[in-house]
Parts: sequence; C-alpha cells; structure tokens
Amino acid sequence: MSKPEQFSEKLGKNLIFIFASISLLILLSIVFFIFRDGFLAFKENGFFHFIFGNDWSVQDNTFSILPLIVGSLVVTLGALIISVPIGFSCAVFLAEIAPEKVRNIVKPAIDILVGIPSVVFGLLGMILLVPYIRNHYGGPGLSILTAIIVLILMILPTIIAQAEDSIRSVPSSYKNASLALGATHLQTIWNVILPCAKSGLVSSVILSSGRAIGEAMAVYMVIGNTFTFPKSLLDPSRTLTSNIVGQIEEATVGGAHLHALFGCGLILLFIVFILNSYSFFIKRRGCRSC
Amino acid sequence: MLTKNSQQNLVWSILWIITSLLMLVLILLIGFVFVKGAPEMKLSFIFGATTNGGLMTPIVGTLYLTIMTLIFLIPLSVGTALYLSEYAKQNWFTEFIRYSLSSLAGIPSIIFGLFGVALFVMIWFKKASIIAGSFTLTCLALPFMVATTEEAIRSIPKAWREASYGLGATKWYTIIHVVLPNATPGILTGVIMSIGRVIAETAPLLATAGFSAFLPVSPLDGTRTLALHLFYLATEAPTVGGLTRNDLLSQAMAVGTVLILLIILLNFLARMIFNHFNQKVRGFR
Amino acid sequence: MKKNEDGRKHKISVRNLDFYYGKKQVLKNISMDIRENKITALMGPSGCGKSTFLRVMNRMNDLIPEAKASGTVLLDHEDIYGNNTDVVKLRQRVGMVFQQPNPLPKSIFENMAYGLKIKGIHDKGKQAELIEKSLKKTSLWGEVKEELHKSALSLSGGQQQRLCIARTIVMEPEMILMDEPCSALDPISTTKIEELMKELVDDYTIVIVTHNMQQAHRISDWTGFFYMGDLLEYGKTKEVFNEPKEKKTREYIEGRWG
Repeated sequence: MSKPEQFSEKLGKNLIFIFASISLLILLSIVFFIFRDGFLAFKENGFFHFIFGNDWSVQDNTFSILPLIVGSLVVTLGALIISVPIGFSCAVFLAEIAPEKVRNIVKPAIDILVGIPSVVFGLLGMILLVPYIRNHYGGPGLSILTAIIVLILMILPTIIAQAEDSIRSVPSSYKNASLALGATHLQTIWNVILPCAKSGLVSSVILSSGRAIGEAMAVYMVIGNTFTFPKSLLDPSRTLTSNIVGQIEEATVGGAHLHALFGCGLILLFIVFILNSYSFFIKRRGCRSC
Repeated sequence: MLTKNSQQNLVWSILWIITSLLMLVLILLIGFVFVKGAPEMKLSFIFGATTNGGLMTPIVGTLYLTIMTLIFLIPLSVGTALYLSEYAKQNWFTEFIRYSLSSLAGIPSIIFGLFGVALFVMIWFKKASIIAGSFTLTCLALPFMVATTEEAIRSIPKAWREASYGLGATKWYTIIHVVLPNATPGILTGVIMSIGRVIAETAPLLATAGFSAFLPVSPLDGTRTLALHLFYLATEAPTVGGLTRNDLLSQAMAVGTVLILLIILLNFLARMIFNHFNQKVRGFR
Repeated sequence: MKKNEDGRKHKISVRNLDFYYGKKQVLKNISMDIRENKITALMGPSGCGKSTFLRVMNRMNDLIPEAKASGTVLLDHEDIYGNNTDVVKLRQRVGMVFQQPNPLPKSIFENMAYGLKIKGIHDKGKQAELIEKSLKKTSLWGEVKEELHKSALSLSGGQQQRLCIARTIVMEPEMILMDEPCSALDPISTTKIEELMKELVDDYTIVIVTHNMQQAHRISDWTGFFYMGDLLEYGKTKEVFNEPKEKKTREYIEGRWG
C-alpha cells in the first residue's frame, strides 16, 4: 500500500470512529439530562408529592403531576380502545380482501396520512371538532373527548400501515394449507393468519400507543389545558405532553420549573417503557413457529 | 345460524364499510384543509414578508433548518452505521448500541425539545436559534437514519465485498467503491423520509428554533418553520393589524395545505427511488 | 532455494500450519509444498478444512474476526504472515476465483479495470489493452467485445465465472486460487473452464479446491487429501488416485463416502 493510500485508509477509519463516538455521546447525554433534571424535580418536590400531588404553580415553586398522568392515560387509552379494532379491521381488509386496484390507491394514501404534521390535525380539531362538540354536547368544546377523537384520527393510519404489513408477511404457505383443508377465507384469517401475525400486530399497537401518549401539539391545541381532574369526557384537561408544550418557553430560564418539566418527561418515558416491555413479553409468548 | 359463507360475506361487507367510511373521513378532512386554505394561496401571501403576514420567513426557515440538519445528520448516521456494520466487533456492546438507538426512536419528540433547550439553548448557544434547532432535530432523526443506513449497507452481498478484497482492495477502498455507491439508494430514501419528519415536527422546535418573523441570516438567528408558523397562527392572538381570528385560521389552513403538499411530494419521491432501486437489484437476481 | 524432484522451485511452502476459528482448530500441523506452474487439487469431505487452507494463501481468512494462524507459509521464501507483509500486494500476486461467480455490479470493462485502478493503472488506453489481452486468454473477448459497457451481471453463469477469472489474471498474478469454481456451473461451462485452466497453468501456479474427483483426476498434477483438518495424503495425482497410501483416501476415492 502506498503512503497516500495508507493515509486515506487511516483517515477514513478515524472519521468513522469519531462519528460513531459522537452518536454514542448524544445517546448518553440525552439519558443523562432526562434523568438528572427529572430526579432534581423529584428531589425538589418530594417524589411522592410530585407524582401524586395536585398542584402546579410557578409562583409558589411547587409542582406535581397527578392530573397530568391521569389526563395522558385517559386520552391514550380512549384513543386506543377505538383505534385498535377499527385499525385492525381495515388492515385485514387491505391485506386480504381488497382487490389489488383498491389496495394500490389506499395503501399510498395511508402512508401519506402517517406523515401529515400533527399541527394540521390539531388545527382541524380546533376548527371543526371543538365548535361541533361545544354545540352538540355542551362544555367548552376543548375537552378530553376532542383530544381522543383527534388522536384516533392520527394513530389510525399508523396502526393500519403496520398491521397490514404484519398480516402480509405471514407466509402464504400457512394460508394455503388452511384453505386446502376446507376452511373459509374468514376462518383462515381468524384462526391462522391473525395469530401468526400476532407479534407484528402487537408492535403496531405499541408503536401507536407510544405515538398517542407522546403526541404534544395536536393535543395541546384541543384539550383546553386546565390543570384539573376531569370529571367527564367533556371537561378540559391537560396531559404530560401538552403541559410541556404550554410551559417550555417560560421555563427556559431554568431552575425548578424546568426540572419539573423534565420530571413530566421522565414519567412519560417510564410509561412508554412499561408499554414497550409489555409488548416484548407478549411477543415472546406468541406464535414461535411463525 | 348463518352458513359459513354468509357469515363470511357479512363480515366482508362490514369491513368494506368500515374501511370506506374511514378513508372517506380522512380524505374529507384533508380536502377541507385544501378548500379552506385555497383562497389564501395568493402569490403575495406565499412570498410576502412574514411581518406583513406572508410566508417567506417560514419557507426560508424550513429550508435553512432542514439543510442544516442534514449537514449534521448524514455524516453522523452514515459514519455510525459504517462503524457498526464494518468496523466494530459484533459483540454485546454493538448490540447494546443498536438497542439503545432503537429505544431512542421511541421517545416522544417533545422530550427531544426539552433536551434541546437544556443543552443547546441554555448551555451551548445561549439562545433559540437555527443551529440549536438543527442539533435538536439531528438527535431526533439519528436513530432512524442509522437503522436505515445500516440496513442499506447490510444488504450489499458479501460476494461483492469478497471480490473487492480478493483483488487487493483495502477495507476503506471497498467501502468507498463498492459498499457506499450501492447503499446510496437506500440511504437516499432514508434521507427523504427524514426530511419529511423534520418538516412535520413542531414540538422539538418550540423553544429551540426561535420565534422571529424576520428572515434568518446567520445560524444563530431564530426563525420559524412552516409547521411552527401554523401553530403560532392557530394559537396566538392577531398581531398584524386588521386581521381577525378567522383570517389567521384561514392562513393557518393555507400553511397546512402547503405542508400536506410537501409531504405528498416527498412520499412520491421516496417511492420512486425505492422502486428504481428495487428494479436495479431485481434485474440481477 | 529449495528444489523438488522435477528441479523446479516450490511456489508456496507451508510448514506446521495450525489454523483456528476462535477456539476451534480447523487445520492441524499442515506441511506441504505447492509446485510452480502446476495445478494442485485440494480434496476432502465437507468441513475438512480445504477451503480454509486455500484462503490461507491469500490471507482472505483475515476477514473473519476470530481467525488465527500459526506456522509458516512461504511465498517465494517470504512468510506471508510476517510482520511486514503487505496484504494488498499479496492479493495482487495471489488471485482468487470464488465458488459463486461474483462480478461487481458494474460494467464488464469496469469489473476488469477495478483491480487495475487499485494497482495504479489509471490510463484508459493501457487499461483497454490489458483488458483485451485477458479477455482473449479466457476466450471471452469474442463474446463481449461489443458490449464491454454492459453490466457484468447480465452475463450467463459460465460467462460470469470466466469474467471473474479474466478479472483475476488481468492483475498479472503469480498464483490463482480457485474455490470450487465450477460447482455452480453447467457441464459445458465446466468443460470450458477446465480447458482454460490447462492453458493458464503455463503462466500461473493454480490451486483448486474441488468436490469433483473426476475433475481433480482430469486436470491436476498434484493432489492433497484433507480429512478433519489433517492433510492425510499428498502426492502426484496419478499416484494418489492409483495407489493411495492411506485407507481413508482409498475409501474416499472409491466413493464409499464423502
């Protein structure tokens, strides 16, 4: 190897190593900041008070987040309960029943919908849903119900796209075997294809629930952002994420306020982590042979 | 009890209806955005100065921020992916890095916004600025780009690498002349999808990219993107004289229209590249 | 300079070679001499180490993370595992043709020019000259001379393998290592390549790993029989096939197992 070749070989190797190290550093910094500032929030407010308390006041320098946790969970679960059955139904339809032409139009449309910015959904919620709910159901219109509906519209494309992919990737040999034994298409879907796609289907739910609970902008725009325990679906509320959106510019000065926001983030991550672990174990117990 | 076949037909009908209704609703919603936004889509609006209510600043801001993010994102992710697949020993440590990166992908974007504020705005650059915003977005997009790039690199057949080494090429020479050129379509698709992500994101940029309605010049200037601009229009009170809340909302719809069109365009581009790439490979199997 | 019975020198001298993948020993105390300008065949059942041994000679095993070699392997009296060995130069002197034809996803011309560029030959005219010479040697020139800029992947399997051979000899190597080069090809292409090997051996030293005993018998001058990491028997092909000294060799040749 000539000298210039040796040099470029070494240069290349070092560059790659530097870039990889930077990536690792980024990873570590993110973890570091979230945990450090989150734990500071626990320390400054007392761990149990922070999680189970009911006051959030910047002037009094006291922060706690139970209403936010409740808001996040209610909104996410509400959206999932409706979206998962509908999403799976559409996925089954697209993967197994729809004619090729229909699929070729609908699938790209779904992919586009997945990429639509959340603020657009928020805007639609503000302009269409909020007045409608206010006029037909009462309440201020900015409410948990509005947020749930907006989230449903946002996560349905994601669920459909992922679930459809999982269903399609079930080997056709299983389907053929079932049909050859005399089962109807429907029976085959229910008894063979869906169980085999289980791990992918669970993934799609986890991914969408992550997206739902992590959604900040659209929720912020329609949920009303009051720091109260909602008593009905028509009451306004606030989630962990919309709280951060509303307060982040103020909190740029630092101090306990910023730490409290990181505390929200840390709890949010904790919930996402539980969701992911749950899915991991479900996958483990699933259809091993598929 | 219904026969097996009529059971199936019933279920099939239900599924048809559900899917059609859903698609109808979603398409109508998007259509609504277009309809409400269309009246505002005058050239004077799109290219007008933002201090007067035009879109020039968000457009320039979006471009500026996107390009700057890519400048950092692409070398970082290609370098990391090359390290993971070509140079690192495949042991628990590399698996751990991959696992950590993919976990990072699941973190809600608002938390990246918090991180960006704490590190880039408060400590490094002292102000919300384009560079703070692009660093934040780089962190956000990094896991996805690394995974996509690694996949593109791993799909290069081992046989091609062996042929290159057998002829006396060094590892770096092989990477430059065999691996990267053939991984480029996959990487490019990932880049386009990351651009889509960058354009659509608002939460990470709220307190990191700034608020200014003036045209940005230096990376230390604050600015707003199209998505941010939409958010401000929808949630802030009218500041420019003579405009009502409804005017602002209509403008927001127009911005929404632009955003949706951009997403459609990017999707189309990604699909085209993906298909072209697949054809190239398929022709050879 | 060590000389053997024919008065020719050994191209490669291997002494006490042990080879490990991690903790697993795949070659045990191998000693053999490869004769210059002869075809040496390496045979044995699957997993016996013959391919590993082949790849020792151009250090392609270096690509495997836990590969380790001890012992000496002399190419023209220089230990290729020595501290100062330039592996890049080694692979230019000792070329390799693989079991599955592996042209690069480029044009025929660029495939041939790839190695030349590494060697530092960037002049297009000089490249074209050397490429034509090699393609003629492998009898491909007539078939592809009008289509040098077509993708190499559009050639048939047999043509691709001849291209890979041409790509190797355009580097003007001293040795060509072949790892079951015909196993993925049809009988006609196989015959063409065997004839090619018989012509090339005048200019190059060839070592071929093969599962095909008839092939080994047909074309090789020397044969080594590997079994579970040991070099069980090594000698002139005629002697090994007609009067094998080891029982296992005889059984393998008679097709009792393998």
